[in-house]
Amino acid sequence: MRRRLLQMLMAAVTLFTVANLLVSLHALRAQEGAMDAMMRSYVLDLAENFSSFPGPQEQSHRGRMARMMRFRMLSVDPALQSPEAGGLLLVAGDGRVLTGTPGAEELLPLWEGATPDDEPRRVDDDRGNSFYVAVRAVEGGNFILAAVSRTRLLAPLAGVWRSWAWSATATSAAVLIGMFLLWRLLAFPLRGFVERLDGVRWGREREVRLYDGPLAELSALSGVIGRLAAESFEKEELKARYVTDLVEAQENTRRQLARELHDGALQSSVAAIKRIQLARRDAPDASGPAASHLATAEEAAQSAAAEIRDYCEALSPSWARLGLIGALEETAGRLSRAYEGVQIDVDAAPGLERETADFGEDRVTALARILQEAVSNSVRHGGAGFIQVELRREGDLLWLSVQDDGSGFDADGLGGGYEELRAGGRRGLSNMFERSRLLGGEMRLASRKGDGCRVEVTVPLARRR
Amino acid sequence: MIRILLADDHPSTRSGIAAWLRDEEGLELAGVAEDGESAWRGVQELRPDLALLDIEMPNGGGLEIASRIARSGLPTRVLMLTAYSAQQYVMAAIRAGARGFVLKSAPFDLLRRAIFEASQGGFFLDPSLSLDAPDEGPELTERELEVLLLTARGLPSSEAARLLFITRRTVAAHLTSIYGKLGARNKTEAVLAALKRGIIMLDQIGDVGGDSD
Repeated sequence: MRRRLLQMLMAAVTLFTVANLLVSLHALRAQEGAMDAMMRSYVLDLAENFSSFPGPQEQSHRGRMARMMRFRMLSVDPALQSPEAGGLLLVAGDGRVLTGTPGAEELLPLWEGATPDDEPRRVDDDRGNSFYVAVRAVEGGNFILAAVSRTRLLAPLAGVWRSWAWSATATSAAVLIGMFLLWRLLAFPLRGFVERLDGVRWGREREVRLYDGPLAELSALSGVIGRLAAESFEKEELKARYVTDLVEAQENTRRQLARELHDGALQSSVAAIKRIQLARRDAPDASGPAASHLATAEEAAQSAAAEIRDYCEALSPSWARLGLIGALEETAGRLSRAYEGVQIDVDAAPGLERETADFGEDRVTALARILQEAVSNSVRHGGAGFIQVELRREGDLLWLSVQDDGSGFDADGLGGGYEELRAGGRRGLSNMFERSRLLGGEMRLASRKGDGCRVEVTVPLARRR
Repeated sequence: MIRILLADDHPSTRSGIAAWLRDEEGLELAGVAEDGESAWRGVQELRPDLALLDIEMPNGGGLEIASRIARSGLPTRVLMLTAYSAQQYVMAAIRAGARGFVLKSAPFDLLRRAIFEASQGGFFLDPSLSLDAPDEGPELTERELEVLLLTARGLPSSEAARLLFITRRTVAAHLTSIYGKLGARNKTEAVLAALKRGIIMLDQIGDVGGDSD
């Protein structure tokens, strides 16, 4: 209801306007009819009134006098004062005018041979006046002709009516045009505006333009939203760059630490092991206390070396130096050892090894961690037994796909942003999205319930910046 | 006498192993090198039977020197010595033409076995590389062997399928069967287990002269 309030208001106004227009047109027609009927009855009345007057047929002096009086009386009637307004004529059978109201002789041509019993007619004279004319027979073979000018008599009233009707029509038309313009310029663009506003991916789109039309208010609103979007984009960029720097710095520190451990502590313990081994070989008494001390010492040194090696691997996998494909194969191998019974096949397109030669240890590590997360999801949530990892080049992008045969899930219901995923407790997926983005790439998730899951990551082959 | 060149950038490890090599019967220390370049020079000048190369060295790591040796056609065989335990390092070493892979911390008699095995043209893998594939097992079919060889050369399943005129699904099924027979869990382990058992030979898979660099 509230969603369509604007449209409903506009529809209501339009409906009432159309109704008003129809009613006005109808009233105008009815009024025309009523006035017509009134005029006809008036002119007929005049003619009949006179024809029934006693004595006009007498040719006597008294009769003529009475007729004259009658005509004079009638000429007081405002409608009969001038031939333009109308008049009464007594006409003999041969067309001679016997008598009439002042100037009424002019009206004789209006007769036009009508028979006395006809209904009153409407006749236009040659000066553009419109008359209602009635003819009645009187005794003695004479006729009475009554004529009343519609133009003169009804013009003011008709004018009022017509101008009212015109103004009603014009108002309605203006309202309808206004409604149409309001719809085209405001309601319709507003709906598109709201829809596009709803679809804006804040922080992901640098330029947002919701409206491109003549309305200044919408333009201003669109401008404000565009600025907000740009700000949000910049903020997101800044955050991404900051996080990238942070992650990079962290990875660098870890790598450096691992290298120092490897070149220092690990090598020293290996050197110690070698010396202990030499000492054991040279020990005079293989079963004496010195030999037993040495054996214990070697054991301790061995476990120290193993521990340092594990630390190094945990801090920064040494095998990231093997290049992208080697690193992903190592990751897959380690995962297949960790998840007993899960087969993970890594397939890299021929030649990709060379194309990713200078991919960089940090980015190799990041992709390896994405793979690790994807496999872990597939096994833990999807119960997958077979996972196919594919790598190939697509233009200037590296394309990595992890497809499993697990139970899958409804990926459409997840929502797009990694913030929502994180908020929704899907940290693993959120991390994968985030890592992909930090690599300047994208991650897509395709899965349906009962149909496995596919994670696709595309990353620029060349480092950004 | 097996003449050996030892290359390791860490002085005390190098001197420890060198001391052992000098004393060990049947072995002779032909020379020592502290980085990749000097190792490469040493191999060319001294023509040792075997080069013990550290994977991580300045001026050219062990993998690089190994593939240089393999490409040069010198008779020197290569044994990798490393503090790293990643299986991919093993694969990389094998593809570079190495005949074995031993952890630096391994006991001397293990190193001795590795040296003898490698210098005789065999293959030796440090048992602590978490590869617990059994030494015996059911034989691979001819098709499985073909799939394994192509895989060992680093070809993706799609490519193997194309070359063998079978579908990728079939390749995956063959791999599953291969893993089962070899006690492996992935392609790398399958290749390593097959090498260990002698089902495939090193010279069948090395991409010497190929696109290794």
